[in-house]
Amino acid sequence: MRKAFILLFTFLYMITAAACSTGAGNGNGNAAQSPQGDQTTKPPGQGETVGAPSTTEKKTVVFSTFFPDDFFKEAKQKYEALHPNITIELQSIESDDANLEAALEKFVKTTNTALLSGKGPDLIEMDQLPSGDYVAKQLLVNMSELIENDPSFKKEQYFTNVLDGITENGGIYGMPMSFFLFGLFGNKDLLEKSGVNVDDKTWTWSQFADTARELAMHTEEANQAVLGGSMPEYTLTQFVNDQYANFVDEKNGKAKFETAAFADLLAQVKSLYDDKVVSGDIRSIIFRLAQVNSPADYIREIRQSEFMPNNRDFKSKLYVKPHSDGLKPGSFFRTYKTIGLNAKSTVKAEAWDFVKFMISEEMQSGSKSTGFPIHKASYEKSAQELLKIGKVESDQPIGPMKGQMFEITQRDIDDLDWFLNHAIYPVQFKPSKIDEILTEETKAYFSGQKSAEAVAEIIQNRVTTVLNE
Amino acid sequence: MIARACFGKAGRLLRKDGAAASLFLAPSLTGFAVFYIIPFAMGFVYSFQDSTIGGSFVGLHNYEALQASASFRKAAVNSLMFTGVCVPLLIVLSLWLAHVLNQKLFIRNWLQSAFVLPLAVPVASVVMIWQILFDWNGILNEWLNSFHVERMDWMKSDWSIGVLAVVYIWKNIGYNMVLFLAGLQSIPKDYYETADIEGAGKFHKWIHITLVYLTPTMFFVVLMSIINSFKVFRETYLIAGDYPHDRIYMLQHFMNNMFLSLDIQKLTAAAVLMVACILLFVSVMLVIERRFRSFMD
Repeated sequence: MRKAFILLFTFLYMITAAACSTGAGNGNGNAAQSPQGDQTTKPPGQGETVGAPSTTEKKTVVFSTFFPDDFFKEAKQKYEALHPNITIELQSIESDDANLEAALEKFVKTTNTALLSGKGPDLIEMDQLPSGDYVAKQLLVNMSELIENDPSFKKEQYFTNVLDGITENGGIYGMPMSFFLFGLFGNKDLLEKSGVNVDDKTWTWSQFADTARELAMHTEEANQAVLGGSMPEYTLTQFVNDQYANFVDEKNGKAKFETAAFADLLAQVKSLYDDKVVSGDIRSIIFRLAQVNSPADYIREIRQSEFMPNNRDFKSKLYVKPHSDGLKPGSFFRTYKTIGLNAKSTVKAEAWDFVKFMISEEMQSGSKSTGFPIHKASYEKSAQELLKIGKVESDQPIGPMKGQMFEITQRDIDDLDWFLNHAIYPVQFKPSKIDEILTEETKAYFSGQKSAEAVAEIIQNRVTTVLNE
Repeated sequence: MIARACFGKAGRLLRKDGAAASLFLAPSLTGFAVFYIIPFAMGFVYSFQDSTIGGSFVGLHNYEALQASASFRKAAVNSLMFTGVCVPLLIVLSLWLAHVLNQKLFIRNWLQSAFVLPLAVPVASVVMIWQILFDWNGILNEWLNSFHVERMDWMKSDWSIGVLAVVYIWKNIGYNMVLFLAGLQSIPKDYYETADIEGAGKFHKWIHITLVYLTPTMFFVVLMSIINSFKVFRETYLIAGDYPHDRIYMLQHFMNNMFLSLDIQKLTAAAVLMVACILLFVSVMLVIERRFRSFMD
């Protein structure tokens, strides 16, 4: 009797100990028995088509987002009015600031599990989700194939550079509704006066650092930083990503951080901060990293400096953010409201039609949503409207800029157009695991608490684990 | 004839009892099946397939992929090492403690409560304390500093496994101690008295009476300690996150990360391997115990 008791207890505990990881992944009961593999049997190269959406049959497309969103609500209303037989079911998570993190974690887990068990929503807004893993596990429809086989989709109507930029594994797996630009706002007056050659189209971070050192000699104020608003650990991570292949060999699972090259890099970044060429502070600087959200936002950012009080006014210009060595000139962007189509959806035709509707001119032009619309004509229209008005009001609620009107010219729009049409380098929504380790561990080095060797050793140790999983 | 009747009666009784027993067991058995047995069986099936939906049989492919992962091998070695070193250490310490507390001590009851207390403290608050203690900028390093000793990054060096061992022993020593105490107190006093009369020394008494009569308890304690050593992951994860220093990167870290990156194949394969190992070990233990029991009888 007692032995039986021990045995039972043992098994119970044993499985409990193992269950914290196994139980969660296998939540779905009947997935294994019902093979519906329309994706797996598809011969390669043929490409996926979904056909035309039904006009008579009653169908429901489930669309899941984390945050409730007015743009999607409006799209749903308009689309349902046009297609009475189709219902768009919007699902979102109600949460407040206090519970946001927990709610988000739960949302990611439930969506992951639902997708893995062949269920889940037909359309998913993926900004908060690990979309890269979904692509790797073939859980999403390759939209490039849909675009290819859909004569009604005119790719040239959209920012094709952005769509090409987010291609991974040879396809577009998420359709962005809009995107943001990233760049460096710089003090144009000072740059021109200094005569330093600024080649922002091709510079890498280390070339930028050289330029910055040169510029530092021409600054009027003492201790004026060239680049501000960037903490050393983030700057270092940028530098590493610049020459990623020198430090990480993903194919062979090798990390190369215990090297002279990495020690040099650490020293290089540290000296930039020690010499106050770069600083975490955002006051009195020449360059600052910024995200541009809309044409009006761009104008505000670029004009604001001309109205600085106390004779500190200067002209600004948007410069290209440095990128990795040997790549073609281009700017950085991040997609916003990127929507994926579930590979196991039974209403793919309708879901794809709804996606197309959301990026059509009807939905995109005049949209109040943040970001540059992916539909080109809609952006151009809004830019032209802005130009017609000729002025943008400052959005500062207090201070010297309050109520200030900024002028806008064709030249500004042309400058911005270059950035929009050359936005080819995507910025991920979430930093990668390796980036996280780099920023976390190098902090102790930059604050002077640990030696470069100690930091390199622990980075090497942890990154190796990540690479070999 | 009579014997057959007797057997028949016993059989009927057993059948009747069996039905009643299964009726009583049904609720917990259902829960156990739904939450543990069925998911694990499905995990076992998934570990031989290439996809969770409509996957086809791929033989040992997932296990080969698992073997190819250096991080998995490291995790397996770490888990094995941790269990192999910490469980004996824990047993020795808790047995010693039980002996000490088995004597007439002035504050015995207080000490007993104090040692069992770690079981009752919520993990989150415990982890908080350990974090404050062992962080790079934590209390322990502050003390070291005041003694002019170079500080250590406890959680991000080879020391981390030591920290983990301390946490594990601290957490489980009380429980084991209580079990050993019960075992010690259930050994009849006459045996020791007889041994005294026959002039046996302390050491001989301990080896031939205490240890022998403690063996059934010992089996149980060892099993529980092994299983609890796998559970130390919870504390590790809360202290050091999902990619800790590779000294404390355990099997559960690997599985957890696999789950988050949706790699169910590797995850289930790893889980099956781990359960197989534990099962093997437990079976061996039970066989030994059965032998021992028949020897005692």
